[in-house]
Amino acid sequence: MDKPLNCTIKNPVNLTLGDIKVDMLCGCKVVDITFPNIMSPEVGEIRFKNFYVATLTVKAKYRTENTPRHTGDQPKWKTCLKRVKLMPDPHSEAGSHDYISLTSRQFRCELSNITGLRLILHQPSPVWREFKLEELRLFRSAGGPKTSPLPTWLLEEPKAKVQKKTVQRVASSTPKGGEGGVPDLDGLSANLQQLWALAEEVSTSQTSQSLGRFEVDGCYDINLLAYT
Amino acid sequence: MAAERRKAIPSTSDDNKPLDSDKQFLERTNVNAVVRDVLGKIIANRPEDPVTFLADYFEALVEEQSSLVQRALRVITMTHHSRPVFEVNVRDSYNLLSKHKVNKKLKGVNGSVYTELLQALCRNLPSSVTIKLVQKLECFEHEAVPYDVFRSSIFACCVLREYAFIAEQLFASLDIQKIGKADKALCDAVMDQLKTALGSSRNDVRRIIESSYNLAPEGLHQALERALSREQTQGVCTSEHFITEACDSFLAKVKKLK
Repeated sequence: MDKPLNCTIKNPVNLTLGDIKVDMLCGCKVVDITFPNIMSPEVGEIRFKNFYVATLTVKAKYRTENTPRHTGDQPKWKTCLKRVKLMPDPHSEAGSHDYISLTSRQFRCELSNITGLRLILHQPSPVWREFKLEELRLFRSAGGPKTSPLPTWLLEEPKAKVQKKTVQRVASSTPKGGEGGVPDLDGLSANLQQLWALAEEVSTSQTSQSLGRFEVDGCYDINLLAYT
Repeated sequence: MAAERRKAIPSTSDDNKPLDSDKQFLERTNVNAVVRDVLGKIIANRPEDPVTFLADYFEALVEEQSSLVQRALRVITMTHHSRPVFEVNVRDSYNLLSKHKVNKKLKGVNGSVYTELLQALCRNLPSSVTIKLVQKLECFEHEAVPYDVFRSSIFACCVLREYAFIAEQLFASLDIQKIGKADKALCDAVMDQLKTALGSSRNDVRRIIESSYNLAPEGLHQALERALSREQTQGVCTSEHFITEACDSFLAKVKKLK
């Protein structure tokens, strides 16, 4: 497991309309992240736990080609992620507490040679009073959590097998036309699956109640009973 | 309308037996209640063929002498076992059977009525299957059958009936020339697939994923191709043999009562 990048995550800034004293929130917050201790920061993955954030935009600030001291150059901003939906419906709970990992595959631009990141959190719904990202961490390379042992063991293997089989099928499906003796496979498969389902249904709904027999296997066999 | 009008006219018949209005007539003859009952039943059970259902219902109403088992059987077969009301029907039939007289003082469901009902349910199955099923679910004559055991066995029977029916259809689609006999190699391959699927235990996730893949059209195609390319077993397989074999793998899943 790689370690999270050492970066400074600033406190979220509420964007307000008009005067700051007037407590008028517009459902938008900005979190700035800087990398003061890293020579060439590179971000491959952003992980966090959502807390009622509806959509997320990530902008990256790139180091300019010229010397940083050059005053005339404005820093170059690029949008890395635009309005990623974290909650399908901002007004309802779904997705509000999800663990989310955004990797470089989803990024629109590569996050290397950057000086800062700006996360813009949106929550258009007035239902939620507070919204934020918890446990926010950045990683250099993506794919960290996928190595966690159990799910991969469970899911990867059969999938790989299935893929292999499909390939085989494609390879062997050419002589299918010559094989006249095989009936309607779809129907056959549907029937077989139904049979399986029925058998499973029965095996699950069986009672475990006993009739109160005190029989050890075969002890009431007629040949074993004595006439006395 | 007609009823209202007739009510308005006082009955002026000469004999002292007054004529009823339509409504009174329906109430007196209890037709109201009967029709309401049958409508309720037909809505609850949603039979595939409502007219036959109605006919059966009234037939049962007319013939008073039908035995308890017959009546219980009718109640059970009123609906498909996957419908929620099936549970209610099984309960009803259990209650019906509880009127069975064991001896002068005792009433209740014992092994003999229970077995009789099971056999009646399995009438259309091949006899070898019935025998095996009854062996598994048998209760002795002197044993009282609790509801839970009753329900589970009846359910198993009803599912087995459908299972056998589907197996028959399956055979019909395997029987390509429609001569009542199918290629043995083909049948064996299909049966192997089915047995592997049924053999997988509920807790073994990988086996389940694998067998569900094998039962999909692609997997099946592969298996059949493999079987047909081997081509060692020549011969044919009859419908009954096929169904019996399919049912055997089903029965392996049914636990023996104890």
